[in-house]
Parts: sequence; C-alpha cells; structure tokens
Amino acid sequence: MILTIKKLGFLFIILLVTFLQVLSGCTTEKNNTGDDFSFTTLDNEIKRLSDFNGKVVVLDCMAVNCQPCMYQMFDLKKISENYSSDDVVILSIDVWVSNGENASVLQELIDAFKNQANLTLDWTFGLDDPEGTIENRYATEGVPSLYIYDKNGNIYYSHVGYESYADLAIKIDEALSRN
Amino acid sequence: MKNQQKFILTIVVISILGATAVLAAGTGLPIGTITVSPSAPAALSTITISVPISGEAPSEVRVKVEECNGNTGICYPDIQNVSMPLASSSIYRAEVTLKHSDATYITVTVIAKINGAWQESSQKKVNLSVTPDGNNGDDNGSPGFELVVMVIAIGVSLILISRKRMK
Repeated sequence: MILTIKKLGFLFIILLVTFLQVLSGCTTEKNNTGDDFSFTTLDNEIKRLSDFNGKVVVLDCMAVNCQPCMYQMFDLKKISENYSSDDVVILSIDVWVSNGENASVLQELIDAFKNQANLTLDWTFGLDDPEGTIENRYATEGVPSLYIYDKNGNIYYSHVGYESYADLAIKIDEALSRN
Repeated sequence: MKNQQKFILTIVVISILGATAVLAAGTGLPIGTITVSPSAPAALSTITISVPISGEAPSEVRVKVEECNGNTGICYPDIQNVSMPLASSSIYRAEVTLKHSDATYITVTVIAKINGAWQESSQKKVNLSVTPDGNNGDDNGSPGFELVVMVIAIGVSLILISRKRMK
C-alpha cells in the first residue's frame, strides 16, 4: 500500500515538473543587459547610452512605419511634460533602418506631429546603424520596444508593444527611487 | 470618454501617417490603388496584392507587407519585401504568405523604380479576419488555464485514490 502511495506521489511530481517546464517555455526572455550602445541623432551626432548616466533613460525602439509607435508618441510626450529632463531622458531610436527608414523619413514624422497634431516631440531622436545593431539587441520581437534604465545604466524594466503613460510612469518613478 | 480620446488619437495618427506618406510619395504619383485579395484575409494565409502603375513603365516594382498586432500594439520586424512582376497591361501582382498567427492587421506599401528613382505608394491597412473563437486561430504555443486545472485535478485525484486505497 505504501508503495502505491509512493508511486502515485512520484507520478504527481513528474507531472508537476513537466507542467512547470512547459510553463517556463512560455515566458518571454527579456534582454537584461544594460550594455552601452551608440546611435546617430538627427543632428548627425554620435551619442551613447552612457552619455546619459545619472538619469533615468526611457529607450523607445520605434519605427516610422508602425502605427502603435505613433500612439506611443502621445504617451512619451506626457512623460516629457511631467518629468524634468534633469531626471528623465527619452531616446526614440528608429530601429528599422535595415527596412529602409532613414533620417529624412524620421524628420518628416516629427514635422507631421507638429503640423497635424500640434505636438512638439521635444526629446532626442536617433537612428540605428544599417546593420541593425540596436534592433538585433533590443527590438527583435517588434516595435515599439520600450526599456527603462536606472541612473546607473542598468535595465530596470522592458516591454514589447505599446505601453500607456500610466504604466510607464509607475516604472519611471520606481527607477527614480533606486540609487 | 476613453473611447472618444482613442477615436481622436486614431484620427490624428491617420492624418500623421497620411502626411508622411504624401511627403514620401511626392506629387503626381503614378502608383494607383492597391488591391488585396481576399479583402479580409486570415492570419498565416496567402494574399494576392495587385496595383496599377500608369505612365512610364517602372524598371522594378516591389511590395512591402508589414504585420502588426493591434491588441498588444506590436509591429513585427520581419517585413516582407517581395518583387511584383507585371501580370497584365500596367497591373503588377504578387502573392505573399503572412507569417504571424497573432497579427490582427497588415500594412501594404508598393515601391516602384521609375526613371531610376524609387517612388512609394501610400500605405494600405488591411484588417485580418478573426476565426469564430475570436483569436485569429492563434494559440501562440502557451498552455492555457485549462492545463493548470488539468494538472491540479490529476494531483487531487491521485491523492483521493491513494487515501481510498489506504482505508
């Protein structure tokens, strides 16, 4: 009898382990490296993530030909309005350069926001390199891909897809409170 | 109120996208209206894209198909860039098989090389049809709540059976 109970218990443990393995296979592995990277601004300057150390950085890996990325701009604008640039920096980087997007297309988008929506996108915009270095590291699942870095340049939070201002603000506040 | 805000945002985004498309395309666009068949294709299906191009014959015509999920707000990076051969007089056609099971819409853009310069059409958005279970036929490979219930049920059953046998 005791042997039967042991057998059943063993069977249950095997089932549980199998279930946990299947479940772990469903989770999306996030890129947790806070490695430095460089990008080209619309003024043709080369900037690095490490240039913004000491501030919380919101990295928005975006594309011009991406409708959700357009919606994201309205939420990023709220961040730019509600947080001091001494504390929080927004970097919107077009990561679809390998798909044919370039500086002039990105500038046209910024101009269209100003002309069509009376919205000045007053933060740093930049472009990935033609090899798609940033895309391959930070936006392999799609755009927009959002990352929040703490003041030390470590990734505190990441999210693939559109994220509302309210949810981003919670994470920014948490990142700001970290030393 | 939220719906109203979303509606206004949609209008603004559409006008912004329209403005960028017009700027990209320039004036006197020879690329006509893009037709997608079927008009509401399913995810992972094969679609036929046709477009008339007037005036000087282009040396090359390509179509870019981008898949997005409107629920999660993601556009996938693996944009398909396919050659469009001439099918009949001034009509260019291509077949494209969609790649993402959870895509809810696609955007189609035609580019044509005319007199050595690439010209781009305005973007056409096509909503994908949803299967009766409402999830685009997608289960994205993740176990659902029913699997959790099943495992718990097996565990409880085993415990009950073992207790009954002990008695």
